[in-house]
Amino acid sequence: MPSPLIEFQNVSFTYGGEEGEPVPAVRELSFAVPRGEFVAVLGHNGSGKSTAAKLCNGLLLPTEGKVLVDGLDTADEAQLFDIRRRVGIVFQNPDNQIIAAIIEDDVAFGPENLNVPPAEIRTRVDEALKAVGMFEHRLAEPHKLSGGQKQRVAIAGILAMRNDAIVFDEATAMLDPRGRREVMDAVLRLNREQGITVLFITHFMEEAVLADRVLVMDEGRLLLDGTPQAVFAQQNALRAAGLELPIPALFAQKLRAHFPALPEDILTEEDCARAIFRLFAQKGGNAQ
Amino acid sequence: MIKEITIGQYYAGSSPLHRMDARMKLLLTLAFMVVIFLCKNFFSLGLLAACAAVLALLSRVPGGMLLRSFRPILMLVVFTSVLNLLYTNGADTHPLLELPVWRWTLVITREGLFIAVFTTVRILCLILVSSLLTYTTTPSMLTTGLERLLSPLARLRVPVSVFAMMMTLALRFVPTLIEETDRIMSAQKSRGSNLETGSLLKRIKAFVPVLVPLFVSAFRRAAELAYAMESRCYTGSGTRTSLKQLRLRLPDYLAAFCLLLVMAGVVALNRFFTAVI
Amino acid sequence: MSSVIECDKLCFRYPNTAKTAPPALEQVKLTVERGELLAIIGHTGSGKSTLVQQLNALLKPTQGTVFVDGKNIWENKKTVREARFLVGLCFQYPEYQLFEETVEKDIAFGPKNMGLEADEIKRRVCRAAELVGLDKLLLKKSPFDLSGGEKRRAAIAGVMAMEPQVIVFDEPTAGLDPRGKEHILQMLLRCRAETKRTILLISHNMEDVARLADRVLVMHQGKAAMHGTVEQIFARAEELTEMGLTVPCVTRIFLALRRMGLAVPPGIFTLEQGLRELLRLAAESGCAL
Repeated sequence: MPSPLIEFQNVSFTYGGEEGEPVPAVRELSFAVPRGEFVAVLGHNGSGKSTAAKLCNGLLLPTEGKVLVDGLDTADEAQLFDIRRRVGIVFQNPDNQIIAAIIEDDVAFGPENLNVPPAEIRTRVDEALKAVGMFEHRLAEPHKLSGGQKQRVAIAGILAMRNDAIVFDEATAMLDPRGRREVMDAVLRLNREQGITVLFITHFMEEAVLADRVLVMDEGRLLLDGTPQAVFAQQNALRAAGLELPIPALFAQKLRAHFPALPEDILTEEDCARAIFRLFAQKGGNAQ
Repeated sequence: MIKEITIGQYYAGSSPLHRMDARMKLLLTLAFMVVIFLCKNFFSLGLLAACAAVLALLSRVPGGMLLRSFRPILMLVVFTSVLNLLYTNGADTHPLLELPVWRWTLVITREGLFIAVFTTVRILCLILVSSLLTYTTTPSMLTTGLERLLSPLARLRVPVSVFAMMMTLALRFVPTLIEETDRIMSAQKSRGSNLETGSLLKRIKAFVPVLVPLFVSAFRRAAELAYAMESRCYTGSGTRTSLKQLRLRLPDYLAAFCLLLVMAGVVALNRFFTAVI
Repeated sequence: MSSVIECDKLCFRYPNTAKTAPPALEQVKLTVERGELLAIIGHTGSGKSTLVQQLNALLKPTQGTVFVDGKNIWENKKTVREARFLVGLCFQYPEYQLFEETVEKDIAFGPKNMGLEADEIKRRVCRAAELVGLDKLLLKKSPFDLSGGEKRRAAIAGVMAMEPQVIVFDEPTAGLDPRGKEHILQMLLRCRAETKRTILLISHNMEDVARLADRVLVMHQGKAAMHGTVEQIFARAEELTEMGLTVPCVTRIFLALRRMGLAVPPGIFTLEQGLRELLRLAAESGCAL
């Protein structure tokens, strides 16, 4: 059994209060993300999601416990480059993570820091931009792009480092529906086709249902951990954590009172439409 | 709207000037400016003006755009010309025209006229060559060029690459901050802020509600940016490779050679003809 | 007269844009009835934000007229200034406009600019804070010490305290978590119920539009593409989807069912309607449940 790509071992993190009391953000958090998995993390603001994201590649170091990336301890400063090369983060605000005034220069930023030879940077930049569908914009200026496009550039900036995993820290929160769809499509493709491990922190339930596995955080702790079906079956626990069911699931729940034959595990629109159709196709058959 | 703003005044193209190495362009522009100041008479200045005109043609930047770059300094040119015209008189001068104005008589001399024309041409040449540099080189290329040229200073512990990174970030964030200022101004105007009228003091005070949020947001951006850069292995020290490779090619050397020739020409013409200045 | 806003043949072009580029607004006609909640939907760049900035005279139309409360806002300097206070504009991410030392002072900024008496300002600040659900204890705090959701509500209170006839909210729930979103939506409903004010809501979230709006204006490429009741607009779900706009989740499910061949109408946008429609269909197909 190979070691998981990202592993939290009983991690706690407390923001050092320079003036006020120390604020615990993450408490005794343990989980492991195997290579290639797509894990969604849900939780309301202040549940410790963003802190957990920054713990993943050593931007923050645990006050207690250990974070391991491919077996490397993030607390070991000598390993920091190797850790960050493996795990990149796409942040919430698309404007505050693009560094250069030209798109391809920005994508090259990571490899440049890793001292990759110039000719190879060129191939990596082109490949990364093609992987997120931004190659034709490589000479554009960032402020002329839409939010979704900027986030895809940010993803390319990480791919160019030949990473294994990307952590998305509410990367779709500031985007319009079109931008969210663009980013989501890119993420799914990278996960399925290139086997990139994804830790996707979000507020949007309809994004979480696309994951292999969902973690729910509350008050800095791990509240639920399981497949989307298993997690969204726990409606009361979710409500307590300030979260709702995805709308198709809510709709199916409402329908089930009248149509008990409807299956329990409906999460997406397609599931819902197909289940309803099947219900009526059968009924139609019965009636004739 | 913000999408229309282009920082700097780069004019996209693929002329010989566009294709030159940014370092060479920076150096030659500097040298050209020095030579402009070496000119002593109309013949040497004429040679330089002709060279500048040839460069402008080579760049394929539309004439209208070049003229636009003169606009900001038009007032300065007019002002210095008038001063030169009116205040150049004395023993060795040849009066051309005498204008009675109220109690005084303004004397315009041949020397005054020459100097006024000479300085005007000189300033226009300076503006033209420096605009050609910015029209044919992207701001980020200019930064890279400057960084490479100054890289020997790194040995004297001058943090050249950090300065270059600061310049890159500034270029990147100017449009973002302009957009943000615009948005905050609109928001405060919607709450009845009066930013357009009133005395200077009043207007400065009226800008507090714009400046405070702007600074708060700039600091927040800086903090987030620091995380993003750190996450991508930036340390601020040590060496970095670069996607952009600057290479000196034959045309660059040829350009340098041409400038040397021009320089020699200027020196010779200064010698053989009498000086205006 | 009952319309509080009337725009006709409104055209606008941003200065310094290329002559060949399409104008930001083109021949927009808009009437807003007193007391209604009108949702404005459309892509980023469809002209929604440009349109609402015409309503309080932040941008001057290149052509056409804007009447607020029966008055042409561009008649003279005084009417322009009045327009700022008749139509309150709450921008996207309004928390980025907070600047005062205390929340109270920040909320009072608008009323103060209106030249109101101290007592009246105080009353309005309290009222606005109450409407947005800000605790009284927070009023003395620095706005920069509040949580994200509280900041947003404090900034909204700053617009509400001007007590404008019309309040425009540009994406008031953008970037908030589910709890924060619900807070803002509850606040909108309360504001409506208690003050009877006219509300314009720019939103990308069709669930919110379906839940809150009376009527909907669809902006597309600078033009008013559709204007009608929520039922009328979502009945044209297929057209909206073609424009690349989203429609409520339930509407999408019903569109999928239609494509599969079920005889359901296209304009379903709430869970209740959906349930009712399926029950009717079940009854029609004549089978016991």
